[in-house]
Amino acid sequence: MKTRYAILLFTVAFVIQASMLRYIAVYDVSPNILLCLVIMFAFLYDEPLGVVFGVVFGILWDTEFGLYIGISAVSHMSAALAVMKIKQYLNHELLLPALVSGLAGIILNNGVYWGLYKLTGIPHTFGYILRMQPVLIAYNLLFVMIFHLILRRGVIRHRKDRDYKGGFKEAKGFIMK
Amino acid sequence: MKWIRKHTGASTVIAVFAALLILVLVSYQTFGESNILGRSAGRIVGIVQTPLAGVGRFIDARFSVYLNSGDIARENEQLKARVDELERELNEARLSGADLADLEKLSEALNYADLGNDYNLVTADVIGLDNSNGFNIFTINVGSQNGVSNDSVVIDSNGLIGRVMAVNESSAKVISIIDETNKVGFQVFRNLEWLGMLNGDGDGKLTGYMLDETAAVREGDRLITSEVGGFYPAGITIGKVTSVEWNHDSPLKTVRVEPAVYFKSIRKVTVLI
Repeated sequence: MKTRYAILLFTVAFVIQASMLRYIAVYDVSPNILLCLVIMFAFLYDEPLGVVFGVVFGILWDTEFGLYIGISAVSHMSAALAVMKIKQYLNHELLLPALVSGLAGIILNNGVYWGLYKLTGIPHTFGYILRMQPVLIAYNLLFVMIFHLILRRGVIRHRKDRDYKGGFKEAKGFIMK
Repeated sequence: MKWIRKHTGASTVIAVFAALLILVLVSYQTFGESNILGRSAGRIVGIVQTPLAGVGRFIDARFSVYLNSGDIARENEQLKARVDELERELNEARLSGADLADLEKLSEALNYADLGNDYNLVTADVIGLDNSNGFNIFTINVGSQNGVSNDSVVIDSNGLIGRVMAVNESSAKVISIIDETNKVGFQVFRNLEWLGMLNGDGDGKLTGYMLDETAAVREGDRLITSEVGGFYPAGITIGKVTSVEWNHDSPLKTVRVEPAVYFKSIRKVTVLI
């Protein structure tokens, strides 16, 4: 994906996340579509786009909604790096590996995020934090799935070509820049 | 240096990680206050978010009836119960005119003033609210050009919400009382001499203690802000007592309080400036 499209996509996700996603909250929990995008960019693209956008938009997010600036950036970065490592062993085209990577990324992101906040002495209890996790993880995985279905088509050409014999590494030559 | 040149990728990651941790530490020291970059980013985001928040409210107003019919039924039941409760309170108020006169005297004794006389009130729309984390931090569409400053008190029609924690020209970031570690001074509405201190219990509610252990506070008592603690002006509804316990470790009576404001669905607020 061209970088300018990626910037546009993250910007739109940021604004929608801030202004409209609360209207689709389930049990008062909205999905974190910025995180889902970070994870999918880390999973689908070889360039470290997920890490870079995760850090930049994480800082912006903290500026608007964080108690302290930089914590979302660190958690996004950790999640993106973990997903980039995990994806080396997985098939990028299939949904299940995307969900497994997504789950690992979401759990790591939430762990780092709340771990750092707990170090700063916030009053929130572990019970309160853990109670919202099942809905949050399930909702985020739903968006990871949606983003995977949308973005993977732009990543690997010829994935439906019956005569294409190469594996993913050979298909790298077709990755759209 | 050799290692850095050999492992440029890992070195970059470590450097960025370290820079971010320093940023967190600096932000922690200044309690999340934005620097010039943060304020500029906030201003731009505020400009973009305002119309989209309007679109969100429009969609919500049109479709929430269909999407949330279960919630509406539940809310209807709660409202019916609330109407019954208010009718009972009204009857009690009519029957205890003398008590009311006493309360008014106490109010005067406490310099208990109408907020509108002491503060200018600025109404604001919530243009950004993140429900994907556990915090109740949100953005409103008024800022320093409207007279809002850091620590301005934010309320809505139900009661106390919190205070402004960062502000730029056209928008401000608000933190709720349940996310705060700062204490809120309160007085019991039934007897304004009963004072205490509250803070977030980390579980979406408030917890605190009475300054006078003989105060006969009970479940259902309404709490309002007092000037004890010095942060919030007196007289703003905080919430209702849900339980009262003796703390055996110290000679204090502990109260648990349900906030009057439901923080997850705030649409409009008023800022005291």
